[in-house]
Amino acid sequence: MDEYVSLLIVTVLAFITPLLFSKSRVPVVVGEILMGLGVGLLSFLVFKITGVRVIESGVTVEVLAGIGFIFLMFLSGLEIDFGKLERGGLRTLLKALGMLAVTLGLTYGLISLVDSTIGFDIDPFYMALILSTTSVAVVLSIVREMRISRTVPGQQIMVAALVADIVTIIIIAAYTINIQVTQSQNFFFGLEAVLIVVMIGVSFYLIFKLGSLAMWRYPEVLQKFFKLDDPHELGVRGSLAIIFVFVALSTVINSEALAVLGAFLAGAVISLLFQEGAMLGKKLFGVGYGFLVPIFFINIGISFDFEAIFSPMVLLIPILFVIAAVSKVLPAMLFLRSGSIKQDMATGALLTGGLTLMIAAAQIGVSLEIISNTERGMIILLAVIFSAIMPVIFKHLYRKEDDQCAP
Amino acid sequence: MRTVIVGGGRIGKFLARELEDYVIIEREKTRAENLARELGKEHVILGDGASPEVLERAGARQADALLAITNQDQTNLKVALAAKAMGVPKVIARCNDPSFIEVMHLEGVDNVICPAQTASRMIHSALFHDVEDVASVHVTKGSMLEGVRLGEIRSLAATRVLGVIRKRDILKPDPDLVVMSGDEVLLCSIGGMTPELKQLMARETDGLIPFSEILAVILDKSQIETVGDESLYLSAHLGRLPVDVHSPAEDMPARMNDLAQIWGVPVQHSIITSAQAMGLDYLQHLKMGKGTLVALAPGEITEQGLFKKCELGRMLGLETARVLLCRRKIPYSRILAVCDGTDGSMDLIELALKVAIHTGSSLHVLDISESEGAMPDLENLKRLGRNRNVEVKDLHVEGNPTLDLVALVTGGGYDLLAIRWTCQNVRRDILRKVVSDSKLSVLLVR
Repeated sequence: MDEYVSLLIVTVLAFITPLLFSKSRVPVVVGEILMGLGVGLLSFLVFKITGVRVIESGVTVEVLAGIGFIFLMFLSGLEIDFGKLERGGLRTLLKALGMLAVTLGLTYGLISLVDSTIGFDIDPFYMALILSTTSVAVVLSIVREMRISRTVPGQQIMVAALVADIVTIIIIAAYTINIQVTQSQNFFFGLEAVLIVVMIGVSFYLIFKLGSLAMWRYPEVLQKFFKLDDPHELGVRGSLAIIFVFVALSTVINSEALAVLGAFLAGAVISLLFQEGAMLGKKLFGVGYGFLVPIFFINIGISFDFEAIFSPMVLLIPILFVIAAVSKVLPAMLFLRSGSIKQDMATGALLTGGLTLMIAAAQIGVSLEIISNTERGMIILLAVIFSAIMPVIFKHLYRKEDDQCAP
Repeated sequence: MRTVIVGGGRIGKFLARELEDYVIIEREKTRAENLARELGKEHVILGDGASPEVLERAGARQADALLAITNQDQTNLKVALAAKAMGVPKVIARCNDPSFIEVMHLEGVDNVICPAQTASRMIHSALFHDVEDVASVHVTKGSMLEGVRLGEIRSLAATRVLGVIRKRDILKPDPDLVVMSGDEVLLCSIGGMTPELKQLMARETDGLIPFSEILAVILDKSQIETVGDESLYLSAHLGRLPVDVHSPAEDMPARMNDLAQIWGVPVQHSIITSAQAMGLDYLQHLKMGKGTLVALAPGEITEQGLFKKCELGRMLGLETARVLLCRRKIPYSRILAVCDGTDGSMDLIELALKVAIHTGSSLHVLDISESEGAMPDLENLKRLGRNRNVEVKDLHVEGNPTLDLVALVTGGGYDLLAIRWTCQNVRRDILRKVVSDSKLSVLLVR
């Protein structure tokens, strides 16, 4: 298939998806995956009947989807509101960390149990990491929609989601780099990996420190980066440069996980520096969610392995669903103790399943051969189910009148 | 004196009663008939006053004056221009929209009367010169009028209540209507200000004093010129508030006494120990009322590590704390207040506004809130400022709130910054830097 025809299909799908899903309760990103799945299924059925692949992602779409993936992780980092983390206070932060630790432990224990009982060949810790993720974008949009962002429970939910996002991505990166180092059995590769991680850390620190200094000394210069009418779009250019500083560093050891972490850190450092840079944020979200990110999500649907549905691995979906839900709801009930079991269950439900991070981790897992293509398909379906169902359950269970205002 | 009146509404009818030789032109048939019945057929012409033929019929060429007083500014302009063209010696036009006055002047109409502007001038005059019989009282939090029924105000001030402006609505003066904070009550007393109304106005102005006392912490002589002088300046402008000087010296420094005499401010001296002076944590244990302003030298904050120990933070954690970090940027001519959309920032802007009212400075409000659209409480405060002759200017964030705040603080030419210690939407470490390293005085609240 011609490169531009596949690009045409993807961009047309990207255009019509928000129009089709705007009135439904399903997030648009889920809609994009569903649209991609629809096209992929059509192609799969035609292939089964005629033996001809009518729709395929070409090289151009694959490259754009790859950049979209990096950009998506960058935007995830950019969405972290460090002000909220700080305002939440140490107690809220510790509660969120405690919840994540218990979630990770519970998920790991339950998956190990299932693995030893049924005999699925999965890496229990990696799967536990995947199921411990939270979708910050979905959580923030629901909290804002319910107008509870300034209440104590609302802030606790947001901080828990942010902490889960940051910590799981760091652990995923560390875990996969460790696997890479072990697989290579090369001392120098290990040394190189450590060096690159240190360099990424130093770059993060330097960008933050220099940026802070410039904010105090030359605010007028930096203000140009945020102007709506800047013809040179300095803010967008600078942000792209920061992304590729981190991503390029990680490619030295060919680690996809580190590239994901790098892109995430690039977003995080900009968010940490400027926090409420509304105008620059809008421009970057425009570039990302307007073009690159939809290509990534639609491509995930198109390239979905439909053979997986007919494999016994499909049983994984309900099992993992229950494990993930239990592992989020129980810690929420344990740590939050809002006085209402329903409320704590609602919070646990909303924090279950991180759409972007689940897909990202599945992608990385396949490239490292920790998980199979079929398992990846299951994880994608699970992520879609979580994102479609959990916000609805939250809205149903959560009682707004019980809230108390945060200071 | 022959007068042509175009527009037979209430004003036209009222004027007609004051005149002898006049004619009213009215376009609406029913109204014209009613006028004819009331004033006599010879005084009323049915027709469009903007038409030269109708004006001719009304004898405009022979008239000494023409009044264009319809409800339509455009019609009044056309009538006035037609009358001028006919050579009427005196042409007066009514303008309902104040922004249209300039247009009328540019078109060559010399005598323009704007009822809204005239009423506003009368109110202003009543407020500041006590010569008119209309007054406007802006009700602030804790005001004696807050929670009072309009019927009670009538007896309290021996005056009539014309109406209440609440947010953007004008409410009818129902005796049972309860006055709320943020309301503007329009009062009228026939035959000048009654003593009761004057007393009420004076008490409401007293209600605009933002603090009840100033507690000035002066740790050494060098701080007399900063903390001491700025505290006395504020006290002098806020109705000679009592200033309590806390210092480790056994006697009040002579220079401080001299300054107090110059400013004419009552000062008392409290001795603190050197240990207290070092830590300043004793301030937390003082029973300070909500109206106490603690004046400090910002130098102490960095040198003694107050931020590291978070003493200032702890102190500002108290609900009642109001802290002024003095850098002797007096007199205040420009105040910058930061609004983050919270109730706390509304209280802060009210404080800053009251300081601006009494010190004669202008107030610029930097709105860094996430809310879209105007905030009614903020709009009320701005109106209060404008009513009290304070230049209130809105500043909006163009891109990034932290950057915009730093740019204004470092290069905006302000004398006083009013900001919440827990201000949202600004990077916290930069906020601390703004407070500790900027060159302007800072009024901090929780």
